[in-house]
Amino acid sequence: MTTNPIRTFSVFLLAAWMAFSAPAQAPAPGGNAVLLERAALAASKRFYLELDLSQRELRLCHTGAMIAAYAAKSLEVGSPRRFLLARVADDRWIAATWSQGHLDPPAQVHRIRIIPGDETTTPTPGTAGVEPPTLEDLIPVPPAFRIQFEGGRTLLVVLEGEIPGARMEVSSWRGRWEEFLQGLGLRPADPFRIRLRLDAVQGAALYRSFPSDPPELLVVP
Amino acid sequence: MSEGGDVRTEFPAQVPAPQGAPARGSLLVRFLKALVLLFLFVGIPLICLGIFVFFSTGYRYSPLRDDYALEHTAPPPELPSGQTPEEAASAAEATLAKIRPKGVFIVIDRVKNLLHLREGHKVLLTAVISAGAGSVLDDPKTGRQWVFDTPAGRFYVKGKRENPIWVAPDWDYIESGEPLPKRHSDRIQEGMLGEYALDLGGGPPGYMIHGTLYTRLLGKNVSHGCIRVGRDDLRVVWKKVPVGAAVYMY
Repeated sequence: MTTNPIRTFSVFLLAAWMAFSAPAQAPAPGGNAVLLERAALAASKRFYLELDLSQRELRLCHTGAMIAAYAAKSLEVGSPRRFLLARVADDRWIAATWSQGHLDPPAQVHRIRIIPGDETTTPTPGTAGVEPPTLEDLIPVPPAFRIQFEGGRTLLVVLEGEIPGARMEVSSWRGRWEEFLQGLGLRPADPFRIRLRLDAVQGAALYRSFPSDPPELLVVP
Repeated sequence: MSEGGDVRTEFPAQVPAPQGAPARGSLLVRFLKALVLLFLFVGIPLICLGIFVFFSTGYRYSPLRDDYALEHTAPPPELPSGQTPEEAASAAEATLAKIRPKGVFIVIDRVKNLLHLREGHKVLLTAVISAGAGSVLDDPKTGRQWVFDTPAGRFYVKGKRENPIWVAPDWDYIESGEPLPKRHSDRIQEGMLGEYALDLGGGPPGYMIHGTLYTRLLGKNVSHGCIRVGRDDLRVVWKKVPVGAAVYMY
């Protein structure tokens, strides 16, 4: 029996195509891991964050209840690069808990110091027409901020639109320059970050309400 | 110009350049030419290289892909010995069911000055409130200091009071520049807290959800830490929220 070389080659090509195009045999992403992590975070009785990748939503949670939700306009994954060459970290960041989230720049409350007897400084002025400021006026918000977690994992939040209330003036070039220095290795770079674009109203609310006790973040696939 | 259209042009006498020494002007021209060439062949490429280095260095962002879930999903956490994944999952479900708020609960947004009455994900009421002003008061005599923040975290309704009375604390007098009353009975004020007050437990003492006389200031951060609610909304809260209900403030 003679073998047809064209037929053999075709079968080989087909086999090779099937081998490379077959989906990897992996368990369902996250699976029970998210449930176990969520239960552990809920039991901590502190505020924590959940980033839902499929719903494109960041949530503020406490004891298993969703307290506030911030819808993302876009989600992107970022890694440091030098001369176009990206250093992609082999990080297992999905269905994992990111620890100790800190705001950068930190939120600052421009507190009013009450002068005894001075109506304009008291929280509840009795005189009509004296309008006290709100926390939106007292906590300035930058157009972009980072939530930095342990191990260099970072959530970069970029606000789009008009920020309500006080705004922290930061040059956009300053952020670009920082990224450049980090890419060059002159500053410690985040090995991995997620860039989240939020509507300015929601982003400002997140910044101003960010828990003072560093929260943890669960990334939900 | 001479008569009859005869045109004569007179040229100035030319001065010969000294032998062996180039003219100053031509030296300057050569120098400028060299500068231009240097800029064209060295400067511009260097600038282009700098722009390339600047824009090609930093972070590369790419949209989230579906295959990330396979590549970057963390391995499942280690289970207690002898526990199967199914048992661990049902234990986690049980923990969540036990911890999650049951029935009606309150969520307070201290920045937007809003109170949400919720049952699960369903919002029963959204009310405009007044939360803490965040201001600072120093007692010039004793050095005591108060920061008028509404605390954040999970609390619960410890008790409910109808027609509550308010016992004005020291800061109320210090703030308005008045002397402290000598008798306790002088501190009692009726009507200041509205029709109802819900005392909060699970955190620093003294915080409550109550009514207000200053309805024009609802929506502003003007309280000394308590949550002030308008009369109609407070009636709904009073009716629907039982003692023991969870209160989240963020």
